[in-house]
Amino acid sequence: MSEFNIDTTLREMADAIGDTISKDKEKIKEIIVKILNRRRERMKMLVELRITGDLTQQRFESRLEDEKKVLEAEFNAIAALNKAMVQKAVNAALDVLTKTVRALL
Amino acid sequence: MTILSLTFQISIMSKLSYSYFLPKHFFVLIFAFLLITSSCRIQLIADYDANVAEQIGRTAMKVERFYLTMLETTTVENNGRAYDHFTEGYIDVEVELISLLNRNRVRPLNENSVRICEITLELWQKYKMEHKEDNSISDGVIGLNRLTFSDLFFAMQVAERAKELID
Repeated sequence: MSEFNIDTTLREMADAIGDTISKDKEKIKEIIVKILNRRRERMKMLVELRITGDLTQQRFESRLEDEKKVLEAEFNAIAALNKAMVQKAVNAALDVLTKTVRALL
Repeated sequence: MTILSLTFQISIMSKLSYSYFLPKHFFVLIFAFLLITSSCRIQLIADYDANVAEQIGRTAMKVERFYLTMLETTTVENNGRAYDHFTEGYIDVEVELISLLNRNRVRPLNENSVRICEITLELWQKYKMEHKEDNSISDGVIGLNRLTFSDLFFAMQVAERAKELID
């Protein structure tokens, strides 16, 4: 007959969260690196266009302001990834708890 | 419901390895009961929508086509890049972006995608106005705009596919 042990269940739930997060953090890191590389290219081009005169000083400054918005958009994408990761991890922990409780009934 | 809950508690309590039953255990049991009788899942982010993902891809392609056509088929000489020549293209993309924003706004738990769409639309309208003011656009600025929007659409796709990417 199976027994309900809160400490064991909590430890299993914590393990489920840890396993999920450690698997997913590499994927997230990969995407963040991609985003940062794209940013580097854009900044390089922005400076080049100021040097060649394609952008006036006023437009250059305006584009730098736009960069803040693009960065905000990119952080929103990363935030969505983090939410998806937390959702998956918490649900994995809830699955452990549900399975344990169901086994007792 | 109360009878069921009581039965459940008695059933669990009889199987506890603890020699005594603390109030904290009671709350854990109530939580567990609620867990198995509810959907047992949490949701922090909107479900993946293949139609929205497809629309993001389509709009990104339209923007690419718009700027590449401008770059490859026209030059700044002889007023070749006057704003009037591109009005239709600007409207076409703007309509797609507004549609994308509205589709995202009606979905719950979708504030990240909404904000990315808002920023994309805002910058599209801003660069359109700059083109209108200057009545011309250089190859360099076309390249920069292409890169900026490509990155914004990448962010949009990442936010839309977040759950899929993680799974």
